[in-house]
Amino acid sequence: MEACNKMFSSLWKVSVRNLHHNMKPKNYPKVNSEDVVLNPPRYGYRKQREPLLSQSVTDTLLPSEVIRQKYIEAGKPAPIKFLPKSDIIARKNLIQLHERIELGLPHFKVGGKKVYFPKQRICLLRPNAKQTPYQAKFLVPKNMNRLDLRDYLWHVYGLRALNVTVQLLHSRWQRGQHDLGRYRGPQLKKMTIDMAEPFVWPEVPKKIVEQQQEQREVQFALAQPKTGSDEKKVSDLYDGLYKGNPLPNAFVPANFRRTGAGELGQYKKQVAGKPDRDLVSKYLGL
Amino acid sequence: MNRLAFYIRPLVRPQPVAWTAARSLSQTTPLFSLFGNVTSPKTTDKAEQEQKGQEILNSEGEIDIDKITVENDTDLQKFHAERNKKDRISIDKYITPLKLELFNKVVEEHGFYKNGQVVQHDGKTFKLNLTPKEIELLEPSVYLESTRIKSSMKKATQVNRFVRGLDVKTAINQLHFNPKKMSTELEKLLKEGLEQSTKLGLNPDGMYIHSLWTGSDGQWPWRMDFKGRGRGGIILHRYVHLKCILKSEQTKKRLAWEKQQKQLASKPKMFLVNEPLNFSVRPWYKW
Repeated sequence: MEACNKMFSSLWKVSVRNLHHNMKPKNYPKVNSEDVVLNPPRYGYRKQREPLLSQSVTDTLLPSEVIRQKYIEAGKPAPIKFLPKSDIIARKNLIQLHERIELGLPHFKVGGKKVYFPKQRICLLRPNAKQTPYQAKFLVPKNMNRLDLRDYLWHVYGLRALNVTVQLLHSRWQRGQHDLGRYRGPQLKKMTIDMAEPFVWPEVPKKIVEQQQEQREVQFALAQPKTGSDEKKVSDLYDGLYKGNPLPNAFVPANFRRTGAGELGQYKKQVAGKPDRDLVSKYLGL
Repeated sequence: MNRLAFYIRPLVRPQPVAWTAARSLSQTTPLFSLFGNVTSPKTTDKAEQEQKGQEILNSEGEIDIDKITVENDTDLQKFHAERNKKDRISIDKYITPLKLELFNKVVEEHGFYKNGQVVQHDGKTFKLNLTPKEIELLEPSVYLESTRIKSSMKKATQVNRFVRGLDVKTAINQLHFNPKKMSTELEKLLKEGLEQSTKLGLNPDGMYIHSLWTGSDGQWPWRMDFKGRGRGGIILHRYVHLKCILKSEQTKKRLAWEKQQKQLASKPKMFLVNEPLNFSVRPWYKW
């Protein structure tokens, strides 16, 4: 029995000797490398749902009324977000707005605030990059709210502000001129309105921009502190407007200039007084 | 902030803008007009307009502000001329006219100044004897002053010694090929000197560097130099200026003449001692 077992195990070993776990290249699957897709997209494992009923409505401005109707027709409960009647109110308001615009009436409830002798300024600002032509931005006083601006624009310019958004800027730190302190600058309030008609600011003339640029450079050059020999230097700005072709100096020491000017003054005095002295001496017979 | 606002934004807020004041010196170039073109300009005098030239007028015969430049602005030029005359340093402001006249006569006669010459002037005869200092001041010269230069006196002096006494054109030639920074600065200064001497009517080829010096320009910034072991020093940031006097060939000729005169006046050189013995001669040793 034992011998039988030994024989079996040896036979087994012989039979298994040529079996290899690793696949040999000749046994590789025959696949064209161009047909193989590395990292294939992993879809198909999610459940594909059929599109929602609400998604089918795409061409309506205030769609929840239509969507609600669709759900009723399909015998399904409408989602909660389509249940409120707000868009009916919105539609009513929109129709009302169009009517008032056509009639030339104010499109909002006119405010009752009375302002006497106003001295505040409201500036129309140039647009920034993210503004559309249908928007305009104003710099307004800080105590003004968006309703005030809407009223103001309607009553002064007849401009309809269809929507007003407020930007209250933080006050910037400003450095003092003559000290190391820093102070809070003003807090600015800006408001952006939506308009019915577009408005594009005219381009600033190139000449004015260049002038301002030059002026700025000049200001910068003049603001530079001058020390030592540079104090005598006359600036060469504006094509020599300041400089003006100065004449060359001769070398005369400061000491000689001081004494010489005095002596020359004395001399001139003498020469000027000579006729008078002659006259007197002639009169006196000296 | 858009482009215009960026340029309009003042750099220094509380101080008044200096350039507007300077600009208003010229009356023909008003920068701002309260009424613009609505009112006619004040200077409508025809003769005056013709004087100022047709080039500043527009098609309607009015003064066009944009056409006025520094070159055709007569008022500005007049102002500059007056200011230049007042500010200019020249010897005739500090010496009597007679002395100047006599000096010029000698120069006219000999081509340069000779001391101790007899001159006829206004029916009188003068013998003109000037001190060396006076001669130096009366001869034509160009005084040059540089602006503030970031360098030191030690560095500047090396270059100054190199060109001192040379002809200006030779000096410029030498400095141009010298790699030192101060050479460049000095070259710029000398070139300016050549321009100025041409303005004075002097021959630029005959100009030479009479004297050339440097000095501290003051207000040197300094900072701490921290060292080990609790020690420290001061790092100075030095600034200097250059000053230079250029003189013409007139001075060169005079100096040559004076040298020659000195040579002529000197006694012949004796190679043996020809002096009387300054002690009593006795035929024995005194010790």
